Amino acid sequence: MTSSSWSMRIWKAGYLPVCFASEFVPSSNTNPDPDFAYSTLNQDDIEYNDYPDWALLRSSMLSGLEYIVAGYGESISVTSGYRSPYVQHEIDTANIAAGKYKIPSPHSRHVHGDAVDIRARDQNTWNTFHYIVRDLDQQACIEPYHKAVDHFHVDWRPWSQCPPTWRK
Amino acid sequence: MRIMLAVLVIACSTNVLSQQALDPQSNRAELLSDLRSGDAQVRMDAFDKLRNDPSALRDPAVKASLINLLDRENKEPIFGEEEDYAAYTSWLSDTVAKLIDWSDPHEVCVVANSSDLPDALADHAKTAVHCLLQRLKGASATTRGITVAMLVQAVDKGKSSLDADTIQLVHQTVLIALQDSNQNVKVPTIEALKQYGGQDAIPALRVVAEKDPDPSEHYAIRKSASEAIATIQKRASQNHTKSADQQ
Repeated sequence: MTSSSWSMRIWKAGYLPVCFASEFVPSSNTNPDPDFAYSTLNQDDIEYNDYPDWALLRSSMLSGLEYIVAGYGESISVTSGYRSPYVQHEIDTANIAAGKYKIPSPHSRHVHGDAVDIRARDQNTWNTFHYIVRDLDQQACIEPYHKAVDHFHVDWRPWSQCPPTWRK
Repeated sequence: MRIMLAVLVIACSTNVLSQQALDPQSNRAELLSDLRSGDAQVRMDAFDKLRNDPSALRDPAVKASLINLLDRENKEPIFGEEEDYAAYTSWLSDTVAKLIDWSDPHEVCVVANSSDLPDALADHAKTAVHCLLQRLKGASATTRGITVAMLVQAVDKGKSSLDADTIQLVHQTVLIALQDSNQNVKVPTIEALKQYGGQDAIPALRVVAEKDPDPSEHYAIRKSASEAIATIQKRASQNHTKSADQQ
């Protein structure tokens, strides 16, 4: 399939292009964050080989992540950072086909480069991350535990777009 | 070039005009029908349009449809990566909570089953507590944990509106939750007691603080129970001082 037909499919599926070019980070920047390698923060695009040399890593996400690492005091496992619209589409399509998802998430904040998923092995771990982010000066949007039991999803979307019960 | 531009302008204006020409009533009827669709994406899109239309939200037919919609979504399984769907259900429960009649047990129970609105439920404890107790039956550990936490908050806020038997039943439920082997039940219960619990919870919390066998996060459950005891004692002494000052 040609790249133009892919673009058309993604456009039709509602995966709009992201226009925050100033925060696109190249893979040559080997240290976008002191604790996480570029290959960790862009792991999904690398896995799907979709422009693996570029990732949208917004400064709000990077500083929030650093705050969590400092507060936790141990190494943490980032399970997802940036996802390009194409990769998000591919992940959603595969999960819908497998019967795991009902609908795709074209508006996922991972596509905007301001979201991160951190592995939380249990609710104690999830709560620990929650307390840390709660003390952060910055507003943050947290998916509740009962909606994401195996990971801690936090993002720094515009506040008005954060569902009321996700606001910390 | 000029011809192309002219065609583009005409096409856009025709589109805008045809949208304006749509009868708002038939448009709303279509959206209400979409809310009953088997396709979650269609339901979500219809809800998004209605949620941003204040006149639609005043329509009793829209209100009834949104309550039914939340009731339906409450029964759908949810997977953690479904970010847009998870956000949609949160917006939906928030919207429905602003529309319902809080004296209607069915409507309150629909909101209580959504897990998203502990504050609103606590404000209407008299009806909500019964819904929450009902919800515990046959629920998963995660749901039990959230529900017991909401019960603790609701009883704290609505004590005066609840009868002694109901309060006693909630108290028993909380004690059982503290002894649950699953941390998804215990952790939210302890957290809720820390924020809203009374001194009657201290003996049970003390047992957890001293003997809980779960070692995860450096025995976080024990630590959390100790903190809950200290917070409850501090709150009780502040309340005591406050009431002494008032006398």
